[in-house]
Amino acid sequence: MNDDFVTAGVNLQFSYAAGAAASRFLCALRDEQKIFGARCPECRRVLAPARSFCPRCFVETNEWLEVGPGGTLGAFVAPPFAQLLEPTLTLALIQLDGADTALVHRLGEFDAPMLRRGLRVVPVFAASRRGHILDLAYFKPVELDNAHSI
Amino acid sequence: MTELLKISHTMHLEWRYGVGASFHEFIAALRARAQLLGRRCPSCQRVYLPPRPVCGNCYVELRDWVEVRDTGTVRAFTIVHTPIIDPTTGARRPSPYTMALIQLDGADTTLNHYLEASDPTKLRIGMRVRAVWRAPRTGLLGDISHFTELTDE
Repeated sequence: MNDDFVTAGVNLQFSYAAGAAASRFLCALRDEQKIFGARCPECRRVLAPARSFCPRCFVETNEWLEVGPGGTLGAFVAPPFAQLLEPTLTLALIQLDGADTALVHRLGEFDAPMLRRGLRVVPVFAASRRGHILDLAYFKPVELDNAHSI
Repeated sequence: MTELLKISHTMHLEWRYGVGASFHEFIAALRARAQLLGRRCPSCQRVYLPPRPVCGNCYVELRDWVEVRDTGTVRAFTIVHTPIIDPTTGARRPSPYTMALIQLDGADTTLNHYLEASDPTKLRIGMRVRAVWRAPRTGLLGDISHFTELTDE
């Protein structure tokens, strides 16, 4: 060890109950490769990912519906510090077709210059799925040739 | 009924920091010679261990190093019964265990460290203890594994 530096680390292990709504959402990702949203009976917004209640109206959601799979790229960022560990990591807000909220997820299979707000993206599912948000591995831009068909 | 999921995650945080001029010499002596260096205040004569760059009482810069022994006196202790996950290893630390504030011989401040005693009922404020060192040393206070009763005094 260098005299002038101390290197240390911690491993923080935690687990939490996903709850009824997130469990159902994640099981659909795992088993059906489908993305679900939930509609608020008050404001009629479709919240995706699906939530048990509307945080704006404070009422329980009662209607589940499939959203996407295609969506539109909103804000995106390549976090500089996270990129020290994972150089290709780019996070994005993705508004799935049929949803009124944006989902935070990762982007993949893209060249940085092609990224712009409004870009059409589609999900790529992981081959091995375990009931986790990364069962949906990432979103990738739609090939221009196929853009009209999505 | 929906299957209910549990999400498990391990967050690994690693860091590296410059120890600064004051701690540099402390670490070098600790690693090379298992020697504990404290710093003496030229104004109030208090010896700080771990060393500090400035006296907390006098606001005077500390420059003088003094050797502190690896034996000391228990000033306070607590027996911890709550099992904890050791943050450096991720493993559960066996409980109960004892934490103590130990004033090393030659120091005026106390050091927070683990205390292991053959018989926990014999723990007393004022009891004499000695450091148990790890090998090899890396130059951290963790090079002292724990403190134990000093019997041959």
